[in-house]
Amino acid sequence: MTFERDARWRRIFENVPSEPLIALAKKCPGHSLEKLYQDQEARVDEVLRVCDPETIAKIYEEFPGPFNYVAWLFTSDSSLTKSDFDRAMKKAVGDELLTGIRPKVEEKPKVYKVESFTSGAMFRCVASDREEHLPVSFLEDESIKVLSYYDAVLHFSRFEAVLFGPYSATRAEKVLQELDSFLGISSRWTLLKPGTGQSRNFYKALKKKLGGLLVETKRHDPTGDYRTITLEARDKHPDLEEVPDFKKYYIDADSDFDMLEFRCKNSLGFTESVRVKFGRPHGRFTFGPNPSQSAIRYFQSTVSELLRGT
Amino acid sequence: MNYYGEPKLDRLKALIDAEVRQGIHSLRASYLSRKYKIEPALAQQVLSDLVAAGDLATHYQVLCSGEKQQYDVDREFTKRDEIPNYELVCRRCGDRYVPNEENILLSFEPTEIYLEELAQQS
Repeated sequence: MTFERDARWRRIFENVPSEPLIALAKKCPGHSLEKLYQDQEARVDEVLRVCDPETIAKIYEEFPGPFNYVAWLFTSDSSLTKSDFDRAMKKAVGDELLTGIRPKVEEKPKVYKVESFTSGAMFRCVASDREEHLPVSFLEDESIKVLSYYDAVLHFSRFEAVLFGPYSATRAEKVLQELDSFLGISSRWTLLKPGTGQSRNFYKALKKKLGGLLVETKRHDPTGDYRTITLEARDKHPDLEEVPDFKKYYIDADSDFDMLEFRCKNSLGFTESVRVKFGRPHGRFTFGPNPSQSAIRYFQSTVSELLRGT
Repeated sequence: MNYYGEPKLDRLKALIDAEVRQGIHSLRASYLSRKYKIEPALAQQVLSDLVAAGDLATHYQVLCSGEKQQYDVDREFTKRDEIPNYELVCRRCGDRYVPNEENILLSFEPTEIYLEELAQQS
């Protein structure tokens, strides 16, 4: 073994799906198929052994592993350029943040690690901003402060942000405000979400633009015996909108949520299939397991184009 | 309510009658608007008029928008002013949330009187 099982190893181990790891390692001479198909631990060892540093860096950047995949997409009308951003980063981010610190956790989100990459940076934040009520003794609840982890990706070419973690728009906006103040910049963020009464038009336009499939949905059931009905596509009809029964009864019904599946190419050169669920609250997008950053940004730029009309 | 006297509204009323005859038990303005390519405000107007006439009853559902939200309904109300405007604790998941326009769903259900009236007409 010529590498350490360090933080980088752990991040790849925890976040990178097996398919790209296997495919990338297979391109390298001297790989062992047995190890690649053994388990994730052996697979990561093998990838780090046979792949060149540039490929490993790309894998590392593509799958940073946010705490969860509940995402809020923001755009900005700030005139901030990449060099302004780099200057702000240099001023605000010390060496200790690049390796990660143990912060004094408060209600206000605190940055505890910054990971820089070619087109931006990822800010890992923590806040003690939630309370859970636990039944600790008979008929008595105790309120306990719990931590929330947020991961914000600020990126260019157009200055935009993806914020992973919060479940409400208010909290997402608050985290970005804290980041602005941390970096000493003024970004004037706008949450990308459809306006009131526009959610179905937004869904239709997004599905068309992505060439996506409706793979799951929960809809109001106006005609049947149920208040709502959750439908999942099967292989025979991968898009629910192509199912005759769906077209007849549910195509016009209100959605509680829709889940689209779309395909896109990531920076590693692979086409990946991504699932994203959205509904209420508007502007909250939950991605399926481990999409690449390229896929998330492709999705964001598509949403941004549709909502900004550019 | 039998007629409006205004062709556009009369047509929509007839469509709603037909929907209810076919067994629709819950109508929403957005659904009618999409299905019949009409303005949502117009659908909302006719549905509200049918409520005033006693043909339809309003039904409000509040979705928890908290952290563990599974897009399930937390509470149901028959009037808008019954919905609290303060923080609620979800009875399903224990999360806290405030009802707002994004998580309140309004639907209209036919009343017994309306169903009987339609049955007599056919």
